[in-house]
Amino acid sequence: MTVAKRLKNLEPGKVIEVLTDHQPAADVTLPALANGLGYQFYAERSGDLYRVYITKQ
Amino acid sequence: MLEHFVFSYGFVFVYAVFGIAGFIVGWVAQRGNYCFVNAMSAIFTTKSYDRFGALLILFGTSALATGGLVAFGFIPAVDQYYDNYFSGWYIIVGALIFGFGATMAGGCNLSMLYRAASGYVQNWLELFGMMLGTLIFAIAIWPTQSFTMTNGILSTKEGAYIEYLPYDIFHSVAGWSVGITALAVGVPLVAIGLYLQAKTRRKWASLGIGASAPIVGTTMATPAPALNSGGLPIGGGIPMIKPSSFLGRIRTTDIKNMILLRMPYSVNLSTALLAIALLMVFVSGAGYTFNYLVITSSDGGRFLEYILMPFGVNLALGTPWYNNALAIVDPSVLMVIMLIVGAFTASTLSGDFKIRVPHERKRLVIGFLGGILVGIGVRVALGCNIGMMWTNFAQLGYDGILFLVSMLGGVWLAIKVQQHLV
Repeated sequence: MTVAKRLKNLEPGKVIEVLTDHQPAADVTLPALANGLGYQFYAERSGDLYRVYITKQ
Repeated sequence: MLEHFVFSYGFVFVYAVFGIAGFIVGWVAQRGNYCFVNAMSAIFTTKSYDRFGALLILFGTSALATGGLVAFGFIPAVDQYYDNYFSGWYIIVGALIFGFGATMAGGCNLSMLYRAASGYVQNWLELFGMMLGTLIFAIAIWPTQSFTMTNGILSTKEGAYIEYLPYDIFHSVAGWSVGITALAVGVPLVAIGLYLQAKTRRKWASLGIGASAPIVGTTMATPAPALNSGGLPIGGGIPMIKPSSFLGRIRTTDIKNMILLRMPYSVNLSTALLAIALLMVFVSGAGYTFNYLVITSSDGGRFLEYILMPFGVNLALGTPWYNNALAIVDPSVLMVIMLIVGAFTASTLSGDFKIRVPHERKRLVIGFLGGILVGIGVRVALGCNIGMMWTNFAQLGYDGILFLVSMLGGVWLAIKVQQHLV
């Protein structure tokens, strides 16, 4: 929900980067959020953390 | 239960199959990030129906499979309906409380266990909260609820075949009536589930993020590094390849990555494996014990009883609800323990296991308080999302439908509260 609110206030073309150690957020919640809004996303694992990038379009 | 066993193997075999089924459920739920609350909350937060559709497919295939086994005479009908519960106000109220509490706490009864086994401290607290909630229910609610059930106040007075849809519709528990009912329940559920998934996929495709769109590398390569103010270059980690909620075609490399635990299981693969686990229990436990997946609602709640025993406190002796059954390790308790083992094994082997303490300490408090509501809700409803809702679809009852609708209401309410809190 925090990411959804931040995305709402973000300018188009900008990327939001989310750092999380919650694997389901990177695998399920954030991709669903991005898909639902029609935004591109990219997720990668970096050690114990997941970095998810969502581009507002 | 029956005076004769359906199959001639002994209890050792039943325990073994229940243990393996529990392990499979824990493993698959962890690998597939399977959470009933998440599937429902996605409807309200992101308008995604892919995981909720998978739930309906799970319920539908379970009804078709168990109903088919009964219809063709492999399993007696009594082993499908024997443990059908009473129905009444408590299903609706309990599921509402449960849906609300589980959403606030961050996990349904299934995800609470596999996440706790994956190191999520918030879910440990949810589990402890659930134990306390069970005790609160037992002392403060159960005597009154039990009175309404016994006297038929907003409640049916009998379960079993009285709650069995083939009997309710056809006044028969013969194979043909079970078969027709299973088709009438299962086929629409599977069809609606597939439709919802297809609808979500079409929506994503229309927005340009469809099944055929590449996810890794190409889509973000240009804009992201330039706009990333944190100075963290993309590509420094291991790409997630394909999220499990993505509904695209599964390729050979995906299968390889799923086997090697590099990638989560796709949601429909998880659904199929969970349905198989239910069938293993349904067939092997027929005539022996409660032959469905019960998971946490009663056994998890009873953990407090087991914890207190070494300290000389025995809830089974005088506390309402607890004194209805002996505190023993039956096949379903073993199943819950093996579920935890399965989830722990999967999270450890995949590298997902980590002790995770939320940065915001209030999440721990919310997890605990939500857990108390979960404990109260599941006991009032006579079961959780697994032992009541999913199970009841497989039992060809109608309580599962009541539970589903009411739980959706609880999840919606919690989302509204969370939106105000964020």
